[in-house]
Amino acid sequence: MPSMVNNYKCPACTGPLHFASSSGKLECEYCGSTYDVEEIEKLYAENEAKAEEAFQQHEEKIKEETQVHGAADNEWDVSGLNSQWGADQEGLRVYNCPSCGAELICDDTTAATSCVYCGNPTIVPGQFVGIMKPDYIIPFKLDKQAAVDALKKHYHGKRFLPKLFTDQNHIEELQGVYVPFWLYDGTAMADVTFDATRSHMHREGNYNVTTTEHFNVRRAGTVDFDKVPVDASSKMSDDYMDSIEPYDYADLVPFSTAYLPGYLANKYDVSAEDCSDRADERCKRSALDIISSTVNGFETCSPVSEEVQMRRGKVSYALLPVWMLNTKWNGKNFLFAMNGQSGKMVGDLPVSWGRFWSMFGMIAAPVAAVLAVLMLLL
Amino acid sequence: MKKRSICVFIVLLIAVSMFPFALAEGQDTFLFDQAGLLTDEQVSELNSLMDQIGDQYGCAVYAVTVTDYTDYVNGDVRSCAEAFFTANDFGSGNDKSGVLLLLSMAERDYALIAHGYGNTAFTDYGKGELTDYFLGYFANNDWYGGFYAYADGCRQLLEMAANGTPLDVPGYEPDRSVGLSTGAKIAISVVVGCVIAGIVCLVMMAKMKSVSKALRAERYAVDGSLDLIHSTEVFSHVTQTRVKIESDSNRSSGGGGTTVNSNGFSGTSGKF
Repeated sequence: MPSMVNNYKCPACTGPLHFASSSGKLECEYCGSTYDVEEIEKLYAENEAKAEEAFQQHEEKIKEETQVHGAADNEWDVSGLNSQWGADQEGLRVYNCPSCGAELICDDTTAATSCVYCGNPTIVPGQFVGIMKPDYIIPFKLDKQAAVDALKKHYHGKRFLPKLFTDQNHIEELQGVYVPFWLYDGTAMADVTFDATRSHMHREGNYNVTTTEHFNVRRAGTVDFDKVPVDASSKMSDDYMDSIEPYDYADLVPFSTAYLPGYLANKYDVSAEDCSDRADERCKRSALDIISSTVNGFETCSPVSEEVQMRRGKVSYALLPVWMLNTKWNGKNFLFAMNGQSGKMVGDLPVSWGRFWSMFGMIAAPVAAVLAVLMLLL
Repeated sequence: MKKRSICVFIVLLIAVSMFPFALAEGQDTFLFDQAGLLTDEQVSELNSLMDQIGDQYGCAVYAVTVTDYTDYVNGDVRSCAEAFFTANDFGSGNDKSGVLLLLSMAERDYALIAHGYGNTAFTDYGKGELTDYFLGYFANNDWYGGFYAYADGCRQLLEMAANGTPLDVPGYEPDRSVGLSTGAKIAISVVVGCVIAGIVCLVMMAKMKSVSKALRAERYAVDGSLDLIHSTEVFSHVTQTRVKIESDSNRSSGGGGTTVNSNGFSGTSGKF
């Protein structure tokens, strides 16, 4: 039995290593040494060579059993997915939220004190069982201070925001979470026919004559899509994750637990098959738009028939970074989410109706007064 | 001074002598059939009708038939109608409100003129509609039918004017601001103020929402991956629409209102 590694330890002083988003490197909390992620991983890989070989043999066996036959059945290619974490599993913990059912993963150096989805402070440790290992991860690029600043900027200038909301917002409870996503590759095959027209006008005696030429236009073709994201957590609202797009996949790297320290990760609880409808819908609409954009030179162009089919490709499982804050106001939950890579902040804000009507009156009264004076004088 | 007074008297005498039948028939006469187109009974009936309309709306309604208008004036048929109106001191009230239709049988000319409040009630467009109403009868030599249609048409246009909406070009809105009450102006100001405030506040409120579902995935489409395997444009058929160009010179060319000359008359003329 190969020795198990609990977490990444500093080669110099054996202190715990954590991933610093500002530098993109692993830093030792005790001696301050910094290492590239690849450097530490290579070191551990060399030490665990025999254990890796045994696990790889086990993975090959599982891959054969789950191999998908591909295009002939038009099923999603999930052959790359597996639940074998290998040596990484020992350094990870799972927490369950009894309130909303969320399953949060973190390394053993990170304390999960409350649920990021519902704010419940009483989360309990759970079993690390049946959790799929991600293929990719985009590491956090922006730190917590950047998230705090972005949230304050999000509040700024919102005249209808209740003052007490910002005062009681517990902004320091912002938490970095790796949200699970399914990334879909596929090809859309679209076949569209249009009724297009061109017209011109001329005069005949006392009549204006408009001549309209009608055309039957057909376009059919294929468009490839790469890594269309759909969030794989039922706890995370789809519209929030859609709103913080896009992520720059140039920063997409093979998954490593080295990126987890200091952050939570959510386990997926919606399968790739169940999420695929969302990806299909987005790809089909875009395929129709792209195909339609090739029709030029007509004054009007109305689609008569549209047919789109998706040829399904590979599905990848990725963790994408999100800074989140869940807060309550007047009995309602408000969620704020920031793209941990680009800094895009979203979140619906509550409206103070007192401020709304006050602003309404401040605008309506002087406008009505000025208009009344002008109408009475003129 | 004495010589000037005598000259004015002689001019007036000549003017009156050109239209002798007006004075001879009295001020209760509104239909002058010098050309002899109608029977006495028809004249009496139409005269009563025009008298009643004029009394009801405060705008006198007149009709005149002559054998040849050139016997009276050197100008056109419309100037003859205006001279007749002036010489006989026609019209109701201080501004001499009235409308007059003159038929000249020699060359089948007609003139329709208005004065005073008649210019308000009988817009250029309204006169055009009125002539369309009665000209068909005269074209068929139905004199009684034509004058009856004329009187009825006058009544309808005067009724519309009395209700504040004289018949005019479709879409033409006369300046009504003078007629709005103070309360109406204040109410309009309040409504406009509320609308503007509502628009501004709704725009500000929209900024409070930043979450929406993505419907498309263009940014995930692989650049250059579009492969068109079928691209055809087949001519199907041609359709044509023909719209007549409106060019009625007797009617207002889209601007609405009434064109009034320096003598205070508005009018139209033509053949029947």
